Amino acid sequence: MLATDPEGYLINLDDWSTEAANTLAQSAGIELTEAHWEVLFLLREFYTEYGISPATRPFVKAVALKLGKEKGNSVYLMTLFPESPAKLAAKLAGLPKPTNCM
Amino acid sequence: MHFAFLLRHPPYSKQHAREGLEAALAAAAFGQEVSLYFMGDGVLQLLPDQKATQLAAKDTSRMLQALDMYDIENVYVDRTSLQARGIAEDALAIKCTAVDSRQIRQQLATAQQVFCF
Amino acid sequence: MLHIINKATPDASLEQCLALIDPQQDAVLLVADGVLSALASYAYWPRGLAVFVLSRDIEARAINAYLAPHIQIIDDAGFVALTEQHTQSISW
Repeated sequence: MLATDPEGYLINLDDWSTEAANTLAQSAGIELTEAHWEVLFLLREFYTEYGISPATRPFVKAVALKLGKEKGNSVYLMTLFPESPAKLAAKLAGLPKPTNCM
Repeated sequence: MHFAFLLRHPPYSKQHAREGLEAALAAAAFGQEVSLYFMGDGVLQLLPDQKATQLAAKDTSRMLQALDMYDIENVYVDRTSLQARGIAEDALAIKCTAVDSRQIRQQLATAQQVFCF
Repeated sequence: MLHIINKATPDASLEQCLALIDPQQDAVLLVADGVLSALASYAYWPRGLAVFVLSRDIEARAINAYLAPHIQIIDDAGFVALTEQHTQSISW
C-alpha cells in the first residue's frame, strides 16, 4: 500500500518506483505509455535539479527544452495528463503538489 | 502587472527566503512580470555551493537556478549590501545585475506591487 | 511610496527602508512596535521626512511625551487618507 495524502500525492517521495507510478496512474484512470514515461522522468530530473515541482508554464518550458516543441505545449501534455497536466504529472512522478499552481 | 520582490533575509533563517522565492515563482507562473531585488542579508541567498542538507533544510539556492524556467530575467542585487559583506559581484551563483539604492528606488516606482520578504 | 514599519529598533528593515526612501515624495507610517523608532532620543528619522504614527499605538504605550517633534500622530481616518495619497506601499 502506498501512503498518499488526501489528494493522492505520495507522502514519502522515496516510495516512488515505476510500479508505484503504475499504481498511481491506475487510480487516476491512466495507462502509462512511453510518452508518459519520458515526461515523468524529465519531471523527476527537474525536481532533483531545482528542488521544486514546476507549475504549468515552467513544466511546458522544460518539456519543450528537453523533448522538443511538438511535445512542449499544453495541448500535448493535456492529452497525456488530462485536466491539469502539471499537477497530475507531478503526482504520477511521485513529486509534491506544485506549490505555485492553482 | 509588474510585481517587485524585495528579498532581505539570509537563507535558512526561518522560512523567509523560501517563501519569498516561492511567491515570486508563483507570480511568474501566472504570467506576471516579476523583478527580484536581493538586499541586506538577502544577498547571502546568492552564494554558490550551499549545502542545505547539513541543516535538513530545503535548498533555496537550487530554486534560484529555476528562475530561467519561470522566465524571471530581472534579477538585481544591491551593490552596497554585497560590499558590506565582502562579496564580489562575480562570486554569485546566478546572473544578476548589481544596482545601487537609487536605481532600486526608481525601479520600484514602476511596480504595481512591492512585496517584502 | 508609503513605507509601513512594524518593527522596533534595531532592525535591518529600518536601515533598508531608509536607504530606499525618497524624502521628497515618500512617507513613513510606523505601526505596532515600529512606533518605538519614533522616540526623540534615537533621532532616527531625519527631519523633513514625513513620518506618521497611529495614535492608538502611542497611547497604548504612553510614549507621547517622548516622540521626536516632527512625528505626526494620526487616527484611522488619517491612515486611510495616507494610503489614498500614495498609490504604492511597502510593508517592511
